[in-house]
Amino acid sequence: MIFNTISGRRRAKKILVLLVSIVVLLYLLAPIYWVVVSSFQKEIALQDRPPHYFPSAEVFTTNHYYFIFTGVIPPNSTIMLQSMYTMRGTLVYPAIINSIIIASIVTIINVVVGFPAAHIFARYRFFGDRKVFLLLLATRLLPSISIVVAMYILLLRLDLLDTKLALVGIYSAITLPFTIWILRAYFHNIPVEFEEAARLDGCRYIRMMTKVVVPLARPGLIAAAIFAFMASYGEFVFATILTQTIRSQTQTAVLASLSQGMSTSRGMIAAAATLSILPPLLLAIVFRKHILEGLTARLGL
Amino acid sequence: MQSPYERKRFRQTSLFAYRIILPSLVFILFFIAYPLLYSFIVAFKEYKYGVPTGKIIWFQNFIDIFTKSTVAPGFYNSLVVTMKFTLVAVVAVVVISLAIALLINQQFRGSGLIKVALLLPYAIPGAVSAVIWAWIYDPSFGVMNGVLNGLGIIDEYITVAADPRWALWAILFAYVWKFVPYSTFLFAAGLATIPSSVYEAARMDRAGSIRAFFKVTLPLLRPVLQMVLVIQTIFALVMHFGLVFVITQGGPGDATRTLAWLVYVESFTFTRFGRGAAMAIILALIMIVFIYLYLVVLNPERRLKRREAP
Repeated sequence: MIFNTISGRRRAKKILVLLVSIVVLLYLLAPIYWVVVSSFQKEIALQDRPPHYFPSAEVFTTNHYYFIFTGVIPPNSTIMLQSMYTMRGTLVYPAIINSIIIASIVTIINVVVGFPAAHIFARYRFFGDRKVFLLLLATRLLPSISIVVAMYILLLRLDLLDTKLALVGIYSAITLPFTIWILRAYFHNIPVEFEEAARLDGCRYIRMMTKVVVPLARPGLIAAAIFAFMASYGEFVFATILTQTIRSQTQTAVLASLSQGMSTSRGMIAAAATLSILPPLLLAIVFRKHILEGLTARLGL
Repeated sequence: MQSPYERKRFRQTSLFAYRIILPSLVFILFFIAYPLLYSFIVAFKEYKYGVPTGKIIWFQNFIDIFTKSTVAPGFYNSLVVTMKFTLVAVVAVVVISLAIALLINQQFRGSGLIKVALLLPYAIPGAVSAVIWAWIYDPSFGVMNGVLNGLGIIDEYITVAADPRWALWAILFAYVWKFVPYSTFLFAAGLATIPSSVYEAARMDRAGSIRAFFKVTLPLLRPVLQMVLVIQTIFALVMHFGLVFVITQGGPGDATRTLAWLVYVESFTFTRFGRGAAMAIILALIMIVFIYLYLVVLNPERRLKRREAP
C-alpha cells in the first residue's frame, strides 16, 4: 500500500537499490574473501561441515604460507598433512617473482616502444598509416590459442622453449597493439598546440617527447602501463604451454599445475592463490582512477 | 595534385614515422604474424608422434577434421559446446553487466564501493580465478556445497565439476564472474554520456522507467552495446581455456570439451600438431565471421558510409 504514495515509491526504490547492491557486492567479493580465509585455516578444519565462514582462533594457522616460503613442513603436522605438502608448493614464490620480472620488462618495452608509436599514429599522416594501424588492431583479435601450436614448434627449433625471453617477446607483441590503441585515443584528447609551440621553440623530437608530451599524457601512460603489466602477469595459454621448469614458469602456470594435484593440501593452494592475486589487486586498488579512465578512453567518450 | 615540395615532405614524414613505429612492428611481425603464417605450414604437414614426416598433405588435416570418423564427431561436438557456451556467456555477461551499470549510474552512496569491488575480479588473472572457483566447487570441501546445504537447497554435497549436467554451467558461472566487470565499465561509461535532459523529456511524455529504458537508454547505448558484443564474443570463444584447464580438463566425458580445449589436447596431449594447427585456424575463422557479422551486418550506417567513401 505504501508503494502507492510518491515518498513510499521512492523508499521502495531505495530499498531495492540497497538489496541489489548487497547481492552484487557479495557476488563479486565472496569468492576472493573465501580463498583468503581458507588460506589461513587448518587443513582439517577445511573439511568441516558447515565450513568456517568466519574462522575462529582454533582453526587459524599460517602453516600454509610458512611452507610456501620456506619449504619446511611445520613440525606439528600429521603424516597425512606432510604428504599433502608437495614440494611444488615451494615454486609458487619464485614463480610470482618470475611473473613480476617478465611483466615489468614487458611494461617497460610498452612504454619505451609503444608510447612514441601511439604518438606517431595520433599526430602524423604518413604512407600506409591507416593500413598499418588496422593491422595492429587485427592482431588484437587473434586468439592466442590459434598461434600457440606454431609458436611452440618455432621456439623448439630456436631452442627458446622454457625461457623468459620468449615470454617477454610474446607478451610485448600481444600488449603493444592494445597500448598503442588506447594511447592513440588518449592523444586525441590532448590539444596539439603545446607540441607545436615546443617545435617552434626549436625543440628536437626526443626533447619534445620527454618535456612536453610525456607530462601531458601521464595519466594515460600510467593506465597503459598498468594494463600491460596486468595482461602479462596473468597470461595463461602461452605461459602454461611454452614453459616447463621454474626457470621461466610464471605464477599462472605453477598455480594451475598445483591445483591439478588431487591430494595436494587445499589450504596451501588457497595460500598460493592469495599470494599470486596480491600484486594485481594492489595495483588495481592504488591506480583505480587511472584504470577506470583508461578503460573508457577507448570508447572515444 | 600535390606539389613536389609536399610530396617530399610526406616522404620525409613517412620515413620518420616508420623509424619510430618500427620496433613495435618488429615485435608484432615476429611474434604474431610469423607464427600465424607458420601455423598454416604446420596445418599442411603430416605429423606422427610429434615429429613431422616431411610430407606436405595440403588440406588433408582439414578434410580429416570434417569427415574422418575418429575425428569429426568429437570436432562437431566441440563446436556445439563452444557455440552453447559462447551464446549463453555473451547474453549473461551483457545482461548482468548492463544491470550493474544501471545500478552504478544511480549515483547513490556506495556506488563507488561497487566500482572498486568490480575492479577486483577484473584484476585477478583468469587462471587464478579458475583455481579460486575450483576450490569453491570442490565436492568434499567446497564452500558452494556448504552454502547450498546450509540453505537447505541440497541434502548431500554434489560434484558440479564432474557432473555432465552441471560442468559447463560451473565454467560459465566462473567465467561470468571474471568478465562482467569489464563490460560493466564500458556500459557505465556509455550511460554517463546520456544527458539527464533526455530522461526528463521522456518523463514529460509520461514514459515509465521500463519504457524509457527501451526507448531512450538502449538506442543511445547502441555503439557501446555493439562494442561489448564484439569483445565478449571474442573473449567467450577462447578465454574460457584457463577455466576448462583447471576446473574440468574438458570433462566429464566431452561435456566441456570446447574447440579451444580440443586444439590444446590434439596438439599437446596427442602431439598431432598438424591437426591441432588446422583446428586453431578454424577457430580463428569462426571468430572472424562473428566480428564481420557484428560490425557489418548489424550496422547499416557503416555499410552506407563505406559505399560513399570512394
